Amino acid sequence: MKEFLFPWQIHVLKKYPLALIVFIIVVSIVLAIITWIKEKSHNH
Amino acid sequence: MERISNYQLYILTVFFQTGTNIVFGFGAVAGRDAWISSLISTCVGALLVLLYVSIMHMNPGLSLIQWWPKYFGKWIGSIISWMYIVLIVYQISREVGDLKFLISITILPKTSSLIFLSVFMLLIIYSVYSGVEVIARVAQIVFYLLVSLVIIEMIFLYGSKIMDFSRLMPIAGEGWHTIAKGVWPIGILSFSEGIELAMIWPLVKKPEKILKTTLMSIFTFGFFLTIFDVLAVAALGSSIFKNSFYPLYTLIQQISVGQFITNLDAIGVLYLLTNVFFRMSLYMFAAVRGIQQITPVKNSIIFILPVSIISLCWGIIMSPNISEHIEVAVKYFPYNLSTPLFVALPFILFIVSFIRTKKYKVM
Repeated sequence: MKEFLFPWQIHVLKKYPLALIVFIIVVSIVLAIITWIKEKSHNH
Repeated sequence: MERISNYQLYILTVFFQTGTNIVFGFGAVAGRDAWISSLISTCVGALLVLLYVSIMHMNPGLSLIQWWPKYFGKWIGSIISWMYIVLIVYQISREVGDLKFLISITILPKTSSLIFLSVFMLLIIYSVYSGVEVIARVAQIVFYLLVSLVIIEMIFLYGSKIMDFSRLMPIAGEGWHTIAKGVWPIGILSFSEGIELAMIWPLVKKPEKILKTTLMSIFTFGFFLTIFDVLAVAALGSSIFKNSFYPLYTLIQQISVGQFITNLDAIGVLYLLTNVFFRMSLYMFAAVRGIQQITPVKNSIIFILPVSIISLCWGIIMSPNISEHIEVAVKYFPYNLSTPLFVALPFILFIVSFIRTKKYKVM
């Protein structure tokens, strides 16, 4: 589980080649949710 | 609003595309036929750039980050836009990683990489803070200096009497499949990063000339790549060129005119530092402008420092050694990141925008 925190490292990518793109997608979803919440409070 | 001329866009695109490609040896996997790989990659890469510019023409005034919410809605669109921003930050970190290894292997072996990377990052922060107009003007000045250095270096290489053009023969001697290895995926996908320049395209004074300008810079870059590949193979031979981490650096080390003009290694490092400076500045500008466009924040300046700190730390911890750093760039980055984000998604967007634009015209 610990290795999923560093998905850009070669030993993780060798085992799970899609780890980096999954990481980028997850981070993007989290950032998008934060943006929607901020935008909503900003509009209020 | 900041504006740059088409000529400045031309120079910025040349610097952006060059990046670290030249120092690492473009198409080196094709050995003595690397120059053929470079030529083919340039032509196919130009088609990719044509795709990006076509999307831009269908969405005038909008940047890469604004394309996605327009067609895919607020929910999916903003997730895709954030994916590009995170990817840009990752690419800044990769540039930091490139610098970390090159500088410690070549000119500053005993200096802590944290020190020079922090100083370099401060320079990037200052340039992004000054704005894209300033970056473009500096690029204009430095461009002539670098081109002059390249010409002088070529003369010195010729004067060193180390060139043996028979090393380039036989042409395509190892078969076209070896050349193809240099073309796909790394060769073509190196050009695909040009999509990130869509963040500065809305700032260009004559948007109708962006296609011509960008194609000219792509072919200038392709010309430099081909010349460098020919020189490197002729001077070093196919096996050293293929197996060296930094063929350009090794090539410049060979210069010895009358045992008087020698040790020009610093010029090689200067090439890399200059190209990386402009590439990182443009990445950083794209990232902070992208964040500003996607969030309800009016001023992008507040994002410069957080993005710099994240990318600096990420770049430092990214890879423990140069072999692993290059392995990720060669084996995983092209298939898992470049292909979906720089080829597949833009292609889908092109089809969607084409259909929508046509439908709108009919209505």
